[in-house]
Amino acid sequence: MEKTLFEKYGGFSFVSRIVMDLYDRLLDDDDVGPFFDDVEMSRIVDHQTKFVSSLMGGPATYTDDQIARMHERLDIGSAHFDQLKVLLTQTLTDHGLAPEDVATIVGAFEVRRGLVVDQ
Amino acid sequence: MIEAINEQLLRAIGVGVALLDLDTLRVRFHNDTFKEWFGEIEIGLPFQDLFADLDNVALKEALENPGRYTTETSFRVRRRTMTVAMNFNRALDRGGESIAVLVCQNISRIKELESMIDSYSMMVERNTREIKREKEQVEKLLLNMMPRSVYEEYKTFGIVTPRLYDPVSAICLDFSRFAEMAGEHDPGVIVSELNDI
Repeated sequence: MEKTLFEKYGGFSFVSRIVMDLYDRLLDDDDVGPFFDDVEMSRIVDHQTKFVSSLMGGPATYTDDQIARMHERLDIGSAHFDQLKVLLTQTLTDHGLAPEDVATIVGAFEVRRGLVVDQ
Repeated sequence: MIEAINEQLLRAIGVGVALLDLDTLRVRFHNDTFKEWFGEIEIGLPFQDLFADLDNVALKEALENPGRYTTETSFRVRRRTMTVAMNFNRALDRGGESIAVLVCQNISRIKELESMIDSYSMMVERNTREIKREKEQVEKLLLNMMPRSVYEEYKTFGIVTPRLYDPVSAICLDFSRFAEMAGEHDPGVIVSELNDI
């Protein structure tokens, strides 16, 4: 069976660093950070852990329905989505992922745009 | 000179340090890190004004005996939750003057990592439960098709060695008019009848 990117890069010990780094970048960002202003720390971390794990083929999966429901009350615009895409790309690249793997992960993120961005 | 260097060091280190008057629980000194975390603090300010949730009675009792007290406090800095571990230690008992030293360490990252490990363990546990459930279903299905001894051998070696049983009885059944029966009845009824046999 083909290895997932989650396994290819050494499992959770590696992915955990990406999760923490992305968490820092998100909170420090003035465009997407405000979405987390009133969210409890453990919920943000939980969300980030599942988010990165699911994109890399780890032990988390979200159905399209779940993703849409989780974001329906947030006023997320295309610019916010683009900014998160930039942050995700930078984080993965800075952690040494191969460009084709970054493209795969960011591509998996992009196909979910319609589920979270307000139409 | 040494005292001046000590004070400089105390001010510059990455942990928050404050000195409290033990009788009145008022702030006597704090370093820059402490100020950075908890804001501008006037010397002489009652400690309770800074940390309303702190149990002053428990703090005083613990500093009497055994002479130390540990607690944690969390607050938001912009959108980040900051958690600080606070360690109080009774110090100086000179000329009727008692001082408590408060050392604060930023343990926010530890808390964030704990949350991440919790989140990941829950995901893994859920997956393990699902795999176990699927394994049980496959086992049930295979046991429906073969005797347990054959299944165990297949599970262990991935192959089953043919065995000769002598003597053996075999039964072969042929249903008379089965084709007509299948045509005349509902398929569900036929399957259910066959299952009963």
